[in-house]
Amino acid sequence: MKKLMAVLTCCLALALVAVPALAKDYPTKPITAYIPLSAGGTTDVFVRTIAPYMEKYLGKPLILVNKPGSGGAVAISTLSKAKPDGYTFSWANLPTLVTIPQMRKLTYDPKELVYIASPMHYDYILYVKKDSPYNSLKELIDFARKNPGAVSYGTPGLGTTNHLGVAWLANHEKVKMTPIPFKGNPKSVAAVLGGHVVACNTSTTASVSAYKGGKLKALAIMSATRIPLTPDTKTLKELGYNFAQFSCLGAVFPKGTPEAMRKKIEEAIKYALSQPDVQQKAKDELYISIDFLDGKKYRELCDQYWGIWGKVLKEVGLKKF
Amino acid sequence: MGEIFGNLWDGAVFALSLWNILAILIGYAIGIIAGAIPGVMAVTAMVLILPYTFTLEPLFAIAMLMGIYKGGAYAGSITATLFNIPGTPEAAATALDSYPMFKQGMQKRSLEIALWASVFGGTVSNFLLVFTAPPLAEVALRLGPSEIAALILFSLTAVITLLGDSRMDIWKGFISITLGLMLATVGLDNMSASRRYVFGIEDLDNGVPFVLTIIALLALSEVFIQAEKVGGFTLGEAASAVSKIIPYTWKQRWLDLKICLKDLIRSSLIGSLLGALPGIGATTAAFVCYGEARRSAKKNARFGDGDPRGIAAPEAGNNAVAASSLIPLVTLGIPGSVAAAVMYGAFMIQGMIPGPMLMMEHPEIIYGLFVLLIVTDFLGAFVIALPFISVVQKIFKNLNYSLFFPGVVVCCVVGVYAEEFNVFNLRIFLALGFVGYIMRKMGMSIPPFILAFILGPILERNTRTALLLSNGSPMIFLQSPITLGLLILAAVALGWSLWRKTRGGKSVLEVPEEFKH
Repeated sequence: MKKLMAVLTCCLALALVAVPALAKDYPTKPITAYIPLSAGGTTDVFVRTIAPYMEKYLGKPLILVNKPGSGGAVAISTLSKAKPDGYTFSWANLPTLVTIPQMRKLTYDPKELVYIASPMHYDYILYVKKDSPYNSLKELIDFARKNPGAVSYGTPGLGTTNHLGVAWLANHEKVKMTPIPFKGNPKSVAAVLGGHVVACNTSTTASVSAYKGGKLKALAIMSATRIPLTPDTKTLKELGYNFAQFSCLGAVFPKGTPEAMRKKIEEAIKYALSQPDVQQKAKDELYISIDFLDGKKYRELCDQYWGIWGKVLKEVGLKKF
Repeated sequence: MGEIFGNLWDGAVFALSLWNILAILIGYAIGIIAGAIPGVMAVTAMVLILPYTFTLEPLFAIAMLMGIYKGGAYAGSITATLFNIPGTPEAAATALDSYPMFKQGMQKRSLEIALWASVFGGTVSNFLLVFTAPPLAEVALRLGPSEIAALILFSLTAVITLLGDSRMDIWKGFISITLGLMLATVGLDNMSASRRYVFGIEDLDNGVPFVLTIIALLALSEVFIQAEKVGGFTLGEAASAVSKIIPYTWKQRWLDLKICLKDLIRSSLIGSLLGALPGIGATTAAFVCYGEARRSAKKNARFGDGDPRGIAAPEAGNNAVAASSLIPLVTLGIPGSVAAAVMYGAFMIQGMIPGPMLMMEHPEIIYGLFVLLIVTDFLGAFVIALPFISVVQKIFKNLNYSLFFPGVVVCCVVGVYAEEFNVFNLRIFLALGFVGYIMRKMGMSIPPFILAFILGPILERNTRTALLLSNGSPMIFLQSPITLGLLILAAVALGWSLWRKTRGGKSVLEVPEEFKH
């Protein structure tokens, strides 16, 4: 018994010494990071743009693995089964952590994850076709009011924030607008260009080319701030609505990952974002808004939007959990 | 028109450097190898290579990816011909005739027909891309959900020609189609986000992946079938098969071209049109072209038994998709296929966003890309593909099947895993391989299953989108003349092919003069 106690004490002592040492040396080997999307999309390119700087800061390579599927749920559910030793984290878009868990039963609980930080938020624009008769959001809504159901809008999928953002607007104005889910933003833009739907709410990158080519008209910025692509287009807030469509990219660790490791990755992200060429590429080539949120703020925003999006989900009949 | 030639010249000056040509050749070689390995797609190779293009010169990177894309589009037919195991899904239709032709000792002929048909289809589509991209893109945009739904329905009728001739075969074919449609419903329903037949398994939310299914049903089940024979299937037998190789003469080449020309042209056009429509893809195009070739052929054609048109049509069709699927990308900035999405990513990595703006601001880049595309088909075919085929043929002569088939399984498993890095997919893969094996044992044809599996979701999605747009009124399918026309065509085609099939019962094969050696 005595012997056992001695061994246990030794172990405990060792553990006490070892943990801080581990955290201090972290990372001692390459870190795996899941990307919840297929290679080649804006988010993927952005992550791959900041990765070299994160590696430089951490002194160890990042192994980026694309794990697309089910709105990011595949990546996060794989992550939640990983060891919380700081060597596996995943990038995640806000819906994977906030809206999808309210829409269907998942094998992970997003509230248990360790929120590392968020490097960027997405911008959303409500477009109509260039030759459409509506020149402002008000005209579109007035038309929808007089002709219930005549205004259809494309979204990149059911329950996406693009869908929920316009649904909030329609609900707030008490008009009927029909959401049409397409497979991704590009197809939703194409449907506007082909005249099959009246409007579409899309992220910036998918629309840059068509907008600059003079085929689209921007009615409103659905997200919180104006964007360089359409500098004269007002945000919903500026148009008098107390609402902004919010979604961001963030990084999360599995439940129980030590704070020191979270902090280290957070710092690495912050360091990468401060690089001038990252900022330049994000602004001029990817049309992405860099907007650093530390772990605490990131978590808070996710919690806040759990409620906001949850309410809209309920209104459109998608909230199941 | 003159302006296009000017732009092409500028593009050629800009793009045709030794380095870029080297990039094409490297890419084409990678594409051929990836495409020829069952289970590894050219697109998989593109995706895996994409991150490394960060450090490459823009056009070098894009030329290499283009090479992979084109090489892979052709190479699936190599294993389809030699082992009845299509290296890529789009070669599944090719195998229907190229494998029988190979078994008759004409491996050089079938491999070459596939190669030249690929070059033909690819080239037609390249030129359509260069000269008619804007109007074709306009047409593609105008086709709304109801038109696409009708077009898919029409394409599905091509499936009838894939069924056998006896009443029993037709019944089995319809069972196969139904099974394919059922499998396609598994996963999250995109229109209402509800789960269908996933049994609470999160990994099934995305549905059963398309590439995996096709490789499992065609390649894995073929390995199982071959494994059965392993006892009797020895080196000696393989050697005896090789010993009766029939040479491919120039006269025969000329005759084949004459028989296939009409199908080559038709398939290249069908492939280009289907390619320009987002989300339809090369496999569908190949089957539709095969079906159309069969539908238009005379009763004495030897389809399914080594008809050269049965190789030329699907190969020209699936390669025509390669270039035309870039049409929405360069004219509108909208990627219409997975490969186009990868190209989009490659452009973005290089700091460019493809689309009308790039065309206006840097026409030399877009036209440079066009020139590279045109060059790729010829250079790749002569410099890489032809030598590759002859090497493969030599290897094949001394092949030990008991080692080869396990190798195929390994490649398939690696390819399926590399697709999404998901272990669960391997389980579905194995299960579907057995399903395919059982189906074959029961004499059920696999291609109708595959075509239904691919087209089912597109049909469902577009039908439901159309109904959403019309607030539930089915009149939307009768209002557009294109939709109505296609629906009538589909009904007529279905009725006619069924009538033609049942009328003759088992037809007596008359061997036309050109097939006699």
